[in-house]
Amino acid sequence: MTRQRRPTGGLIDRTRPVGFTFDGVPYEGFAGDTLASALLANGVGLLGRSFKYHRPRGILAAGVEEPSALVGVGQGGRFEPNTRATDLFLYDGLQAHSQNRWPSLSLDVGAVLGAVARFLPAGFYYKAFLGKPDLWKIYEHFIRKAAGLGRPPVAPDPDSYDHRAAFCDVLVVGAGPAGLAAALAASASGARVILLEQDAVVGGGLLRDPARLDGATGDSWISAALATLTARGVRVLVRCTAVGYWDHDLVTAAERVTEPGQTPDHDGPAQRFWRIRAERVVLATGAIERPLPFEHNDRPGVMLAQAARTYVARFGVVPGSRAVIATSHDDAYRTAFALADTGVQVQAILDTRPASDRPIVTEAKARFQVMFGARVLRVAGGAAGLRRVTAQTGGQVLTFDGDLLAVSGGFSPVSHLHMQAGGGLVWNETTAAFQAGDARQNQSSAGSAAGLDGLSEVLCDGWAKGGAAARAVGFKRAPGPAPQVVEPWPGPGHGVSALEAPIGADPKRIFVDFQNDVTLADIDLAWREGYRSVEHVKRYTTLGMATDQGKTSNMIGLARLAANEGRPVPEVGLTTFRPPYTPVTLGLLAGHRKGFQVTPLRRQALYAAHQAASPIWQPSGYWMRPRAYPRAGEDLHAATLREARTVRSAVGWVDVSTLGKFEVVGPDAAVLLERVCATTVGKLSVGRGRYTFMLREDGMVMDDGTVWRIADDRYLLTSSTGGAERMAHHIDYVRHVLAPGLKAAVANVQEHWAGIAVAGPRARDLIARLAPDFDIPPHMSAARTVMAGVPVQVLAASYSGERAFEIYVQSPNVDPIWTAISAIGATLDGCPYGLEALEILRIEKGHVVVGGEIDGRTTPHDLGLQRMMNPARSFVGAAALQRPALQAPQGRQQLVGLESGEAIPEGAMLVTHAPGAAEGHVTAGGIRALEAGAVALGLLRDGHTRLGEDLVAWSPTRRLSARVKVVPPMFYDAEGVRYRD
Amino acid sequence: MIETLQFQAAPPEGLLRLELWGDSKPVSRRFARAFGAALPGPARAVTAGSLRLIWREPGAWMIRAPMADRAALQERLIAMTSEDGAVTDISGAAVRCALHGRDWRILLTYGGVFDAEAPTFQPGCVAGTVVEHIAVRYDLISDDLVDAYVAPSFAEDLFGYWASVARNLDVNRS
Repeated sequence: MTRQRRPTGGLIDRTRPVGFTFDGVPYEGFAGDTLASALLANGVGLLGRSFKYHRPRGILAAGVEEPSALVGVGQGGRFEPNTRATDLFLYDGLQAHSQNRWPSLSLDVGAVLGAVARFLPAGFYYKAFLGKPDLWKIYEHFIRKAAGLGRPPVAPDPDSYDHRAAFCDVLVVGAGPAGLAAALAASASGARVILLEQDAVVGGGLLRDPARLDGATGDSWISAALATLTARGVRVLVRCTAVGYWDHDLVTAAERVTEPGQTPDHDGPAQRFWRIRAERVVLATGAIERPLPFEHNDRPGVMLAQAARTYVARFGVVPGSRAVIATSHDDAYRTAFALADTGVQVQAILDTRPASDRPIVTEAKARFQVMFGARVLRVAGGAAGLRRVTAQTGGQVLTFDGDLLAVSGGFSPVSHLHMQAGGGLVWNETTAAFQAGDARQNQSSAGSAAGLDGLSEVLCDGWAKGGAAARAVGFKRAPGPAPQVVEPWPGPGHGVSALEAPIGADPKRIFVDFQNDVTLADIDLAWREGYRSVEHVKRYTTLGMATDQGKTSNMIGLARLAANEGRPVPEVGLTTFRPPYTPVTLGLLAGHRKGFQVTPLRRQALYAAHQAASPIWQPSGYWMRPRAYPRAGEDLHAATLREARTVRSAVGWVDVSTLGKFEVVGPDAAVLLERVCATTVGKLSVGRGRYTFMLREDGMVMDDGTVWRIADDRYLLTSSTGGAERMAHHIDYVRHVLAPGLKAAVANVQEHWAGIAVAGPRARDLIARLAPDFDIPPHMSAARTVMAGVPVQVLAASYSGERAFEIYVQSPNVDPIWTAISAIGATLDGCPYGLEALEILRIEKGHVVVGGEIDGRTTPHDLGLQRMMNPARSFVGAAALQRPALQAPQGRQQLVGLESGEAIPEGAMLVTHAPGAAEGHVTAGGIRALEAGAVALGLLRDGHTRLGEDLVAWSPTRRLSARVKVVPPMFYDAEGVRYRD
Repeated sequence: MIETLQFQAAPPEGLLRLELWGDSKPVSRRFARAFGAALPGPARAVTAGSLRLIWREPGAWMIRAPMADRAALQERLIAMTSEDGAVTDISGAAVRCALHGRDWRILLTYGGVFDAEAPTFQPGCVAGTVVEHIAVRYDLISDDLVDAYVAPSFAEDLFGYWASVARNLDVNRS
């Protein structure tokens, strides 16, 4: 075993052993371990197989940038695929599974794909699609089977997720040395500060490298800093990753309350989604170490140098016994010292740079074989681990035995959030890295994220940026001096570019993107095939896609593309960083609500009464309304037909509480309403009402309803249920923007008034028995009375074509009215009816509805409403109606009726012959309530001039059709006789 | 240990909407003479005897009163506003829920977008916001009492959500 736990050291809690399994094999780690560190401690270095070629994959990193060590975690609905073993903290009972292998990780049949890699080049899918279409039928099955990284859970997610808002003066993202310093400085100024850290503990690089800060050890300084921040009221959130930076300095963060696959305690949430609105944001997000390009650089045993040091210092794990260090940066020398101090045999340090006499190099030369101008050519090894490292230096090729190759190709500042916030990036030629440039919002980057190198510089920069952020918000108190640092090898790391492959190495074997098996040869091929834009190359080769989004791969790929182009890297550019920074689960985004009703449920005042009648419910926006009230043995169709026939022959009642309702009051109330409504209003006498409709500013009908003059200067306007919110906004707009000087007030009384519509030839009898002394108003008149001991407003209006009344009552008092109507109605052979019967009745009567005939594209003329328009043309939309396109005599979709002896499919195209070009469509269709046959409403090109034509209502996707005759859109009582007593 | 939050749905109350279309100062002065408190300014609320006066939007207030006094109050307000505005009964348009306990600030950060933890949000402040897609209006009475007004159709859903969050508030707190 070449990897093992050290007997002492690390920041894990050795008093708390934690049991877990990997591919069913039980192991033990300690509290504070990641799955990766625990597996390394148990001698496990093979964690999965790559996506495309099923190459063996080990552990490259020690943080969220890990591209290779992806596992599935948990069971049932809590199973989470593609979890980075380096970003998963151990808990008792953790069950992890390797991915992308069959039948087992060590014996994977899919590995044969590696042998045929040359037949699976970049753009394979695109090329495959260019073949004969029939061939797709052959290989679709195999492609679909191979597609996808990891497997999704198949059971419902049992966990809950919170969404939470937070606000602050200064948000600091990242609690490494720069972030801690920034938070300390900002909070010292008195600012309201939030500090986010994606790790389980704060400290960042201080947890890895020894240093003394303000005279204390790193651990002690971190503890003191945390205590200070807490005392100042700073909200410190760990396991909380800032995943998105949006407009107006809104930062979204994903907090892991429990680890992936873990059962939450106390019925609490598994994760929490934070929306943080900050005045200023300090991005102390650190930097990510880059790998080096050489043959088989993706093999298990090749590890980033800082990661190797992290496993030693933080987790007390030695990741190998014989190590080779390959670097272009001083930082990896620290790894050599750290490994050697634990007993690891450091075979050599291969430095791409020329010789130097910096202290850390000089000290290393005294202990190790250090070779300058040296490049790794290739490594040998496989699923069992690394065996040899071959390097070239000064024309010599040397081979080293080793089971660990710690590599450092320099560092890329984490600029993702900066770029998401609209910030620009600048190219640092020396370090071959993009770093944060111009800021478009109130953000600044600090420490390594700003391209700085060296602990002292990083701390000072964080301190300065935190203080500056607080001052920018108005907190003037000086935070004092920055922390003082003493470390063994201070100063920057003098990194140089090491993005190019060594001369003589085979680009087909040099991997750029470990997660997607993209090689340098793939980049070359894409370039040869004409892909010049980095965004196109990304999509063609899959470079930088999937869960890691190229955190470790982008720069080498870009450099190769730039080399092919013969242009510098900054001219080739960088792909756009988009949220989320690290993957988030869908459950987290969905939040609290899940299942059928993912939106709030609005309950009308009569909800309980309906529920008692066991109706078939129908969602209507956020409302849930009865669709029908089936009796024993009835299905929806039977119940609907019975209810509609009852309304036509006796009496029915329906809950219309959800309609939009507005009281408009004041001496200018009518003037305001004649701006909102396209009909006249001012001519109504008190106690009278009329049908009305409203237009958008572009002249299209947006809603309809009724308007009633219920007092001298008081009107009641109703509108559709679905359009109620839109109408509220529209009236508000007209009132405050278009006509602000009017002496009129508007109150939204949608929920103040509950409403019940009573309709049918016996509706008058029912009303008379409810209120015996009531002088029942004629059609389109209003009156007040008392029913069941409750004051009500009665509006004699009909949507069904029958004599009808809408009874409005203050919502808390509606139950007695419904109960009384039900009792008396039953003696008149009546029944309640739902939306389905309502639909049949309104189609027969030719009433238009929002979402059907009022579809946002129809004018009053299209709907046959032009004669009702106010000739004064004072209403919103009047000017737009004069546009030539709306005045054209032909070409408009116009409302028509459709008759047929067979069912007319709703939504079907209207064609002359099927198959044929669509000339319109069926907006609503249904059976007739009392007679045989079917009727429908539709929008038909030039429909008003095509009455009598025979057409086909044709729905090819549903394989339905019906012959229809075009008729006027009114099938029932065209003279309105039935409205009269 | 977190303090337990308690919910108390208020009994039906009279709610009147007062909207002024001109200069509000004369009406406010008349209001102060009649009820002992002027109409509160933007985002503020005051108590005047048995009335709670709550600013709603520019030129508009919601007045909460005992249900029994509602009709008489409406008549009195109509007379007071005279030609300067209108009064509409909206008693059925909102229900009130009183949130007792100091941790209401934490609770109200859940599912919403409002800065309930802002030090400037003090007793006497009102705010309108959205929680879980639901429009809600807060009237901060004291450090440990906030009234929330919501449309009755949403009340069961919202109060249920708050109850579920409050049950785990000691877990959720951070």
